Amino acid sequence: MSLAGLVLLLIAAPQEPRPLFRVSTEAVQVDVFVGEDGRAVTGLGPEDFELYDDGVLRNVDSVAVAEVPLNVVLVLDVSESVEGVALTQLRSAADKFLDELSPEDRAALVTFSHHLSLRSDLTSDPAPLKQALSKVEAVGGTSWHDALFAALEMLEAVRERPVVLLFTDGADTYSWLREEQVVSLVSRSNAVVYAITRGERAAIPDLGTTRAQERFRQNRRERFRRTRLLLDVTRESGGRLIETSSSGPLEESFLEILAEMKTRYILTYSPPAPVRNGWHELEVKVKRKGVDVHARRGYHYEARR
Amino acid sequence: MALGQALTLTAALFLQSRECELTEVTFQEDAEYLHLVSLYRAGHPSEAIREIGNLDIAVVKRLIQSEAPGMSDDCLQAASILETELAMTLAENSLWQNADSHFEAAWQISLLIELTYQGERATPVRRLRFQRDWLLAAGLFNHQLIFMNVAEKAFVRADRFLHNAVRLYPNDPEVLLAAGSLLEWSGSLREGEPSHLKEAEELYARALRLTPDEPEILLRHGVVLEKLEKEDEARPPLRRVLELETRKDLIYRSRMVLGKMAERAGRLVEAIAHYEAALDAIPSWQVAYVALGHALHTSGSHDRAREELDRALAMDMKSADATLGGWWSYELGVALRFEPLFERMRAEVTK
Repeated sequence: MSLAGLVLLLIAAPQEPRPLFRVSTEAVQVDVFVGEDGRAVTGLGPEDFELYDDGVLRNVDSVAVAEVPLNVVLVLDVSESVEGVALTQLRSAADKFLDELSPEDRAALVTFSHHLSLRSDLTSDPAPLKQALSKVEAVGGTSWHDALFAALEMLEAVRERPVVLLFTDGADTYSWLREEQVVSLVSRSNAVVYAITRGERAAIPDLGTTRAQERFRQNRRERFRRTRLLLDVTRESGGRLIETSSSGPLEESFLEILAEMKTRYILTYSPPAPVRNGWHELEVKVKRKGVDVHARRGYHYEARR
Repeated sequence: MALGQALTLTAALFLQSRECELTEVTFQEDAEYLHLVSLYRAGHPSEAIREIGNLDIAVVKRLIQSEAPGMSDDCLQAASILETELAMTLAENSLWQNADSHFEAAWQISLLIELTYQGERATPVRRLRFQRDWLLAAGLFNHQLIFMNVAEKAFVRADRFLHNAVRLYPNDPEVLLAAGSLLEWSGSLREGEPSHLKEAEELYARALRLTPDEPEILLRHGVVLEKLEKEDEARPPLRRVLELETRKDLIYRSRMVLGKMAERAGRLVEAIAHYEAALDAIPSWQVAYVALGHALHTSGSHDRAREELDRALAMDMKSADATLGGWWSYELGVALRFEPLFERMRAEVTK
């Protein structure tokens, strides 16, 4: 299945592991998180959801949860800014995350500085990932745009619950891909992207000069823009961004995200043929007041020839 | 006497004649430091840089605090350039914390000489000012702007130093290229100074009026024009680089920028051809695989896109691309840019 051609997971009859896609047998899967006051809402069934495809209400055929294994690519920043305690915290958090995965889940590890490295391909054995993490050194600049692209491409052929967990603590300074290209790639992928970021807030400087004031504002704008892009990327995919303090442990955030992954619903529905080529707006609602729903904003469909 | 021994003796005598001295040497490390500065002056920069990096920074700090009594101007200047080269090497290896103290040491040593000649307009002082201003600006730009929050004072200092340095040598293509690359880098950063891109473009244009077919200046001019979104103006200098018989890294970079412009305009076939040609020039640099992977992905060639990305991801962190001399060190504006200037500065203290 191509990443660009068919982004949301389109599945055929369940007994066919690698099906040929035909419109009449296609189904769309939407990975959804439902929360209330920061906690996952569990126990929902098809009758609790409303799903709109291009504004048209569709019947949800089935809802699956936890039993569908995860395919997670950990995309971790090992640039110079992570050196020291931060790297130790990152290793510890990633280790804990891997410990908590189910035996059926698979994980891969991509690290990035100004250089991308595949440390371990998707595997249900956490040992090679942990071993690779223990050897990682923090050096160089930050290129998370390119690293995210690589992770999405790795997950492109994965049919079951593709997820990216991105950690970065700095602005992207070295990627080949531009911001708009990254957002476009995410919107065309079927992966859910979670991100964790941390970093120093700029100290308020001595605002004795106009130039100093301008630089401070510029710095704040830059921080906002960086966070904004991560927010756009995660929201586009139906994931979430967690911002942590610059020096606190990361374990809590990693485990929070894993818990959220484990409580997501997979909604399956069958769009009536013929499915229109191109972008489809998606909206998922829950028939209950006061809940937050995180789902991708749409999918890109292209009929197979 | 064997020929090797004779040569060693000659080298030793040569070195002895240039041996740097202090009025009084109290510590063994001071003697080692002086010997390494002498070695640098004697034409062994790599060895001197490597060895001096193993010495405690406290040695040079002590030297500066005592105002290096009895040390000749040439030796002081050599020590200053040597400290700067060491700082650059550390910076290229992302050891910024260590680099900082050596940049500072270089600056303080050069200040020792300038204070001696205060008020004089002699050439050595002018040269020294250039060296100090230029190199400190380079250090400050690279460090403060890229890897830390923008430090107001550092930025203003760096800006002033750089402009002073260019004013001292307004018609030297090498200086214009080097200064342009710093301004370009600063202008390319989100936290940087947007007007610097335009300034860089002007410096490159001036340099090209002096040396119209210098491939590296042509490349940088094309790159900065692309950054300024003047794509029609960017293409001719980049294509000219391809016509010239020049270094592969310059060909690679020209291809990458031409590919980027083609991709942005939706000419994917052309973009892919440029990225592939870049890889023909240097197959061991990662960024072209990523660029090619993305262009193939956009064009619908997903299997090939994955293949190219797999190649990128399998590349060792220790590959040339990830360390010195690769794509990124060039983008940092450090290694390639400064070497010609260092050579000239070294020549001044070794002649």
